[in-house]
Amino acid sequence: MIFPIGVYLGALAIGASIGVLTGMFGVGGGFLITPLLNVLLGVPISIAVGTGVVQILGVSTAGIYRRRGEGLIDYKMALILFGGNYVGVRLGARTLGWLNGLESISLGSRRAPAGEVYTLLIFAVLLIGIAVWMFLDTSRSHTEEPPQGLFARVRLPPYTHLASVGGTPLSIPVLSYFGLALGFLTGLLGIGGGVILLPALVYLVGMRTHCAAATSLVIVWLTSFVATITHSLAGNTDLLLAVPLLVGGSLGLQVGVNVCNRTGGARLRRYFCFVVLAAVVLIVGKLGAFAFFR
Amino acid sequence: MPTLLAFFQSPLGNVLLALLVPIGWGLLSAWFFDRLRERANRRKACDLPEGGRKG
Repeated sequence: MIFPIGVYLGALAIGASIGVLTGMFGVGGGFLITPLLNVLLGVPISIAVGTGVVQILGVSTAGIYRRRGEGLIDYKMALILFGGNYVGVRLGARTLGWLNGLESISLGSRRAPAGEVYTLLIFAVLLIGIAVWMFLDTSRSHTEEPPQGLFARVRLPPYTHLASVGGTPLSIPVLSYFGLALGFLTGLLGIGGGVILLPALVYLVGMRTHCAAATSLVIVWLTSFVATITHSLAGNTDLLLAVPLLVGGSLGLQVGVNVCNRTGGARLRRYFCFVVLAAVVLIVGKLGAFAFFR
Repeated sequence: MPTLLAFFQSPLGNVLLALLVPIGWGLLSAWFFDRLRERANRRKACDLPEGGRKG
């Protein structure tokens, strides 16, 4: 598909801004790319989703390469989580299909699928909770990193020792089911898992913020690798449109990683609150679209 | 050449291209920026006066 030149220039700018977020927080930014390409540039939604995934794959590849020597990435943790995550995404997507087939409710003067409206509402509440929790935590705490994560208290063998959490023994079944739960939410809500991943790795697993951002990048890479195969088989990828997204993304990534390395853990978590709030705004926008434009 | 073109228009070729382009670009751009950073650091080190270096 050939778009007007303005679309490619817009994609360059969108790619650069998402690249900064990927470099700073290890989020793929899928929740922003899709609506921005679709609403601002008029790219059909299926192409926006498929091409966005290609951009995330490219930028996260560059991010992992850039961070390879810093010792922040915990590959073992990423692999344990990804196993459950992949199954969870499939399960969540199927559940959403089932929920949408149930009934529709009236929202404003229109009808909307009940399952999607309820899950979006639950997700918005969850994200607002995460943003408020992180904001309060970074306001009252004088230490750079939160104390031991919640999972360190769970005694369920077998255990694994991960350097990124200071060698604390963590239960492998708990981590696997945690990955499954994250994947389930991602599949159910249809947006990337990075927004939930970073706070979960910090507060539940007990990782340092910089390690969490770097490790999240590997999980995002694995997820986008699988998604790229799925979308290109479905004919949803437009490589010509992906080029400006990739060019902008790799420039933005360099800025993002530099900012991340120069920012303290507490401040980084506070900045992340704004990313979470941006996701809430998009969800409210989606609910508004159900009520007024369907 | 026409065989290669036909391959990249097939579903398998499409998938391969969709994987190769972003991963290739990601590696290439990151490598390029690494070299650029190294060069800038080397230049900065050369510009430092002898007494300014810390061992």
